[in-house]
Amino acid sequence: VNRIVLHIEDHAITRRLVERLLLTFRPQIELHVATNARDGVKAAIYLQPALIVLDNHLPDATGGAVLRQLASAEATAGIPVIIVSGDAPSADSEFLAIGAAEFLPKPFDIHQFLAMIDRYIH
Amino acid sequence: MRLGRVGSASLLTGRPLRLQRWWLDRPVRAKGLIVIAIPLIALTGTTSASLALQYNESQERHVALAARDLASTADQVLADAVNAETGVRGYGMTGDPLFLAPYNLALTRIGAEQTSLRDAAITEGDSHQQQVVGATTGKVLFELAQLRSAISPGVNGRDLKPALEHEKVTMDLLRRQVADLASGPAALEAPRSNQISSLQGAITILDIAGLALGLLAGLAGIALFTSGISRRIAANAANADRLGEGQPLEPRPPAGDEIGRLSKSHVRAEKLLASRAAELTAARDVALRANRAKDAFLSSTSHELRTPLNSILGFTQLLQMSELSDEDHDSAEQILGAGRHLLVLINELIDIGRIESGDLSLSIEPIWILPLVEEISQRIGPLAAERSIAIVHQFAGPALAAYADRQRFSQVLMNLMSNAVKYNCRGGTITLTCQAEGASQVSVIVADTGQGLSQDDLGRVFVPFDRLGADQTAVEGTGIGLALAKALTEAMRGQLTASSVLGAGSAFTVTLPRAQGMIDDGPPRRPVPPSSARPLITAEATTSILYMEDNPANIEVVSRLLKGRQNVILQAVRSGRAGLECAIRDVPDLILLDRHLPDLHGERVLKELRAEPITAAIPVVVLSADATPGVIRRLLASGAIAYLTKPLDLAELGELVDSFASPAQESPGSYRHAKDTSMNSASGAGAPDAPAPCPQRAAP
Repeated sequence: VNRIVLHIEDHAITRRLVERLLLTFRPQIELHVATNARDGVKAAIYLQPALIVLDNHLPDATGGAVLRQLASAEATAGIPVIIVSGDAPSADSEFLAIGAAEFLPKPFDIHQFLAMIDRYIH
Repeated sequence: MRLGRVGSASLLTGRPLRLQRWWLDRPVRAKGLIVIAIPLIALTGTTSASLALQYNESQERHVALAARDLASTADQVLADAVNAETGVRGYGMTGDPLFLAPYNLALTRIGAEQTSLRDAAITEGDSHQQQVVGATTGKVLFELAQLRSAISPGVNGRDLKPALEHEKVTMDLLRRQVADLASGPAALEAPRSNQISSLQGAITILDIAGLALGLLAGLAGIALFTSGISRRIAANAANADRLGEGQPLEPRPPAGDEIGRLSKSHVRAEKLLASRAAELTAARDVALRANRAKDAFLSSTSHELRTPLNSILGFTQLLQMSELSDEDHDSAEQILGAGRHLLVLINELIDIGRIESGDLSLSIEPIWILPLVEEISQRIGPLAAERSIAIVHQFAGPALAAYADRQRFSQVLMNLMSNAVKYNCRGGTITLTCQAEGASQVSVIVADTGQGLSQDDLGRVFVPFDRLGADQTAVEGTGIGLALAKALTEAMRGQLTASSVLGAGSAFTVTLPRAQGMIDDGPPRRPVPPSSARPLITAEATTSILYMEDNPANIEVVSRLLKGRQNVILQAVRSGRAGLECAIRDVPDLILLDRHLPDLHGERVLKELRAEPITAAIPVVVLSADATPGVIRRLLASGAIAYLTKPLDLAELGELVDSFASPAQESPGSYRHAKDTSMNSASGAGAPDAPAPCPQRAAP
């Protein structure tokens, strides 16, 4: 079973938080991280993760741009993407409209985060 | 009139004549005086000239008359003298005393004539000739007296001869002198009468000229005033209108009089207006730039603040879940509380910013008011209970629905109710009232029994960051909650008003447009109370439901409803594409489908589900706010088993889910039939407060 989650996030402490959360509560998940959009897309193609958790503010691109890039490549088009963003919570419909599976506003409740992960990784 | 035309012609060319320029520079009062003075001067001049001439003429006439009198008197003297001489001669020759009668008569008359001759001479002033005539006349009288004494009785004709001869010489002298005298005035008389007639001609000409000049000057004055001044005033009035309308002024020729000053002040006003307008435009541009900068700042601040806050809250939660002493656990709780408060503040700031910049997006739909108010009051319940505050519901009359954004309306109610708790007295009461305001509006009133507000404070209650002194107290707050609530309410086309009695409490009223017709009129049931602290997803779940819904508030409502059901697992996705993926991957037992998803329309999702062999058999319930009979028919024809109207009747949904999760259900087809009938007369069935115990699903 594919339990690979790819976390694309430039903020080290947030990466560490997600890592700790998954390690503690969902140890069965195999977490990979990328710190910028370019590496993130490459890793997605290479890893074929079951789920991508994507930060909207990356040093080299916005989450929306990464999302479009993933959706347009055949190798990654089917992978569900959760967009995590510090933008106002009401921005969700914009991201859903461009193909995100979920929108998770920062700061997120860890239960909410885990529930969202559970929808895609069993 | 001619002057006026010349004026307008040169106005057009823009080069006024020197005379015209001079005229334009005169004050209007001077112009008026000039216009009135010209005919007056002309008339006065001609009249006085005419009077002078008339005086001259009468003088001349008088002199002529006197000269004529003198001449005729002299003639008379001569004639009388001749008569007297003839009488004396006759008497001398005949001795007949009868001849002496004319002599005596002539003698008397000559005496009188001599006097009048002297008078005439004095009047005449030609004294030398008069003296001569007078002396001669005297001499004639003397000679005649000599003659008379010579012919006294007894004197014969011969003796008379020398006297007569002498007398003849005197008479000839007299004749010459009289002729001289007559020729003087007679000679004078001809040129004088010429002079008089020429004077009379001059008087006539002067009279006519004066009349004509006065008339012309009067006409010119009328022309100047009516056509010149009134035209310039009209042009100025038109310019004043243009000034008022912000149009460019028509150029006016320069002039030094009052009207010219008026034109100049128009030009000055135009320049002033233009510079003010430029200043305002510049100020507006600056303000717009500042506002854009503020929006950008708010947006980036939001992101910059949320990221570290995410770490704080996340790690604190992690910490709380580890083995901690009670004290440390409490510390972690404090960090979480402070972090969440900070988050509320950030969200409120962002919301205020969005409302101000017009970027707030709302999803207005008909919403049952009662369930929402009760839901919020339940959420606030624990906070109220902490301070022993009772929440009283005053709902009467028919069920009410409003057009509102569910999430934002909840936010407003949450704000008002949490204020009602925070600013209430310990052991106080919060009264919630829902009522119709006429046919088109509904209102929710949140009244507390706190300290109340003075009239002055009431006026400032919606001012952002003005906490009316509450910042001096322990009451926690951001100071923008009410300002935001008011702005949100107004963005939903409603009003938020406050009233208060100092010492007795305050009441806040939210008024919103009333929704009618789109929802059936059955009173909504009380929502199912959320059961405490059960995780969203239960491990023991046996019936899986996939809910495709973009509105988080609706997901929240449904998940709360289903928390009471141990055998149900709910999976919510926020888009159609994600929903289709989940459906294919997980093959849920039931799909709840919102008709309006951000990416795919609900009907499209339904079609794709039916087209995909894996999902074709999954029963689908469509949820939507716009339930027209046509839409319902179409959806049911496309394969939906039921259609539920938003705002969701939770009892109906609960019943539906229960009947579905129950193994006793016959088939989706028969369920559809059952729901078809229950849709209209809804929901008369079963009190949802006590849901039927859910039988276990048949073994997998």
